[in-house]
Amino acid sequence: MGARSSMLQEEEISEIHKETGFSSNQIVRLYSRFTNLDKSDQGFLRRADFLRIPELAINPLGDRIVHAFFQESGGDTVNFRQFMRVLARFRPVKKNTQKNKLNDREEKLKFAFKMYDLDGDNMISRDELLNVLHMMVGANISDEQLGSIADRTIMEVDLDKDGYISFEEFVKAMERVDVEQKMSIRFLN
Amino acid sequence: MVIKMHNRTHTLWPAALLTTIILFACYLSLTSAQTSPPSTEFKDDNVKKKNDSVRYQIITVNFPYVEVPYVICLWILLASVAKIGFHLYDKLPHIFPESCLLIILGIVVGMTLFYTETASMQQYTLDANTFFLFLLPPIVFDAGYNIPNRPLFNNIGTILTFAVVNTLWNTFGIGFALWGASYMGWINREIGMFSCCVFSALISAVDPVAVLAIFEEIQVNEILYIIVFRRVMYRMMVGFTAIGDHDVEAVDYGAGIVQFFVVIVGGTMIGIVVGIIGVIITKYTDHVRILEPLFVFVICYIGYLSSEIIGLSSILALTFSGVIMKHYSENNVAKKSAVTVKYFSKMMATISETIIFMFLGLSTVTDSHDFQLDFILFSVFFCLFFRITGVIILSAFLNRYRVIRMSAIDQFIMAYGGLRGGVAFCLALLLNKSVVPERELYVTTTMVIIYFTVFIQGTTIKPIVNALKVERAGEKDTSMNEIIHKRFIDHLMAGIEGYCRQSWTQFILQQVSGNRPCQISHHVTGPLQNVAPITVCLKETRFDYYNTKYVKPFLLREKPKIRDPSILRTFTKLSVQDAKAAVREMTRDSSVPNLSAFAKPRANMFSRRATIAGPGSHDHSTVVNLNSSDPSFTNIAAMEDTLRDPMTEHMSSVYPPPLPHTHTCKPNGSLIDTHTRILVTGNSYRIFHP
Repeated sequence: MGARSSMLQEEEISEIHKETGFSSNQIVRLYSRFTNLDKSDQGFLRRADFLRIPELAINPLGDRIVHAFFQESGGDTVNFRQFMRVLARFRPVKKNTQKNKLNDREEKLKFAFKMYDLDGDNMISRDELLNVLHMMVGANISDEQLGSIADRTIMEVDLDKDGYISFEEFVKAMERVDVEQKMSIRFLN
Repeated sequence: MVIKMHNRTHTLWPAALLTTIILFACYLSLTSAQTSPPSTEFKDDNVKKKNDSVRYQIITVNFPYVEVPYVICLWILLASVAKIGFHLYDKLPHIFPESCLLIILGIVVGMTLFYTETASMQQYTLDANTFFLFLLPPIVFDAGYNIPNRPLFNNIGTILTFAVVNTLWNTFGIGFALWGASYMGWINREIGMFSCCVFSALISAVDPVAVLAIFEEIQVNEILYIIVFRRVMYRMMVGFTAIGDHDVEAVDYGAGIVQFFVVIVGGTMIGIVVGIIGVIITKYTDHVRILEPLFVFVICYIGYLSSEIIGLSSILALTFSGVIMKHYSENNVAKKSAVTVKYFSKMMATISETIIFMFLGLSTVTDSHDFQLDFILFSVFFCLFFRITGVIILSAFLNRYRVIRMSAIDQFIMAYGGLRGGVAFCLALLLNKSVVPERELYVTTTMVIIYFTVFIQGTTIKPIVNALKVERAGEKDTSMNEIIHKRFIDHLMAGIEGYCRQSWTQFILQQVSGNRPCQISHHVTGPLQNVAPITVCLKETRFDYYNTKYVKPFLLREKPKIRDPSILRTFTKLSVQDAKAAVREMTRDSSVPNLSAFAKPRANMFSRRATIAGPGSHDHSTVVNLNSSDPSFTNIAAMEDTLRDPMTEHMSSVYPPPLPHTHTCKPNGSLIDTHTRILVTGNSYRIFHP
């Protein structure tokens, strides 16, 4: 770990700190994690590196999660800055500290929303919802049933009756859910 | 309708109570009548033969024959009738916990028996065997079987930490403090150190029996683990005391510690093994459905007894076998068997609890007391002190690792809500006088402490909590969106956590402290709701994965088809709610005769059916006047709501949910056809026209 952390410059650390709000200790730890994942030692991660961890093999949304990282980077690879930017969204929201724009409630919800919304049109269509349901619920449910579930879900929150769930409608649907706590990980200092 | 029922039962229950008391009085007179004739017969044996001519007796009174079961049943009946009355007066349950009522009742009965000087008190003292073999298992089994597993497992790190560390802290703290006080002469009595520790072991923890009446849900989980450890500690301390204060050597301490772990691990293993055997048996009970509840109960009980043989933690064994049975065998057994087990276990637990509290009240009046005020005051003070400090210190420690911190209010509830109850008292009663000479002192003190905690803490905690405005978990009416997105986020967080996990120590620490965001909801009132997974952030852990892939196919009869039942379950529940609402709305205007006249009444409520056609069906839609106050209809619905069965198996077809306020059923406005039948299948409601 000693040799690797020297590859992370002080200015980089402080920049990441400013952008994401992680402390230097946390940044260094996460960097070592990043380099652990980076088996080919290239300084960035590819899809294969992401898919290598065992948790993802059993996770029904594994592909989507990986996709979310690459959505952030906008390319084929993910470097450390982009990695941290994604993780920054899962920092717990502390009440009295300065509101870092990456981990407040809206950003967290936006992240989840983007995972539904594959084509990026800022709307969750019935098909996109069906895809996610299919992944979560399993293969033995008839399409008809899944369809009814999807229809009902959309109908519940679709205020403008356009058959899609927009981001505002999504936020409204989640207003009773304690997103700040559900979508937070306590990173060790 | 509600008012009418109220009035009727208002006159009913005093009558019932009166009847019970009359029966009781009869019993008293019978026992006194029975005791006299035998003695005179004995004396005047020879005289009698000559003088008395015994006529043929049409009716002979033979009370001792039925005495024991009769008294027990009478006792239980009395308590249950009193409970009915207790709940009828709306205000009472809000002020007093039920345990208060039971204790008072016990005192009343005790006084009756005492002042009429019937039946020697030996008959009514608690015996170790009775308690551990018959009274305790139902309570433990009920707790193990009916605890919602998810909150338990998600918070398990916190719970275990609290249970172990807190119990140890309390036990040793109170024990040493009391011994110190006695040593320093603040208490006018010399009590050995181990003796003090025995006392602290039995008083230090809280009881499920008393606390359940006030708090439910997550407290139940805490309590269960605490009672386990408390019993272990108690046994340990008694073991040490048996050796004698001054003969204990270092080896013995070591052995004591080893025993602690052996007992716990051994008990768990037995519980798991027994549970698995039970589940495998239920896999093959296709043709003997009636026996299924039998299997569940008997196998768990045998597990309990087996671990008692070797002295392992029987409570843990019973708990784990209950948990395993619940988790797996519920899918194997018939729905009716599942309901039977659930209700029967609750009933037995209630009976046990009642008997324990009655004993408490009874003993207050009848037992010989060793009342030492300074000891009592010190004990009460130390109990409170150590509990509060324990909670504060542990919470501070755990909060560093939890995402959801335990707020001050949470901590206050945990500290103040520590009620001692019947089990502590029973443990005190069972102390062996030769081993622990201060037995009477402990019994009395325990009694006082229980009264204090149950009456004073029990009644004041609700107003205090209300004053502090604890967030009450309201009616959880979850929407489809909430459940789907919540599950979605669960999976997401599981994945992200995989990327963040930095080292094994961090992993373990996260597991221990329960880093998974979970909610401790403060149900200050309300029954234990069958907590659906939605209130807990469940992440699909490795356990779930291996469980689904390897364990379930082995243990379950049919392979579970659905990976994530919670979404489907919510959907069916919401559809049913919509259907019911649709029916009620439609029938509001029409005046149609009561449905029950037309539906075929059958003894079995499950076969009473009612259905509403959805759009696109071939049946003609009809108006149904389901008299909304028809209790059986709402009962079916209620029962189906509360049964957490895998309804997915019965979901043969799903009708698209009717849009709110636009009903698919066209009001017909007229009488129902005499041939109309109403059909309820698992999740949908349909009315048939022949």
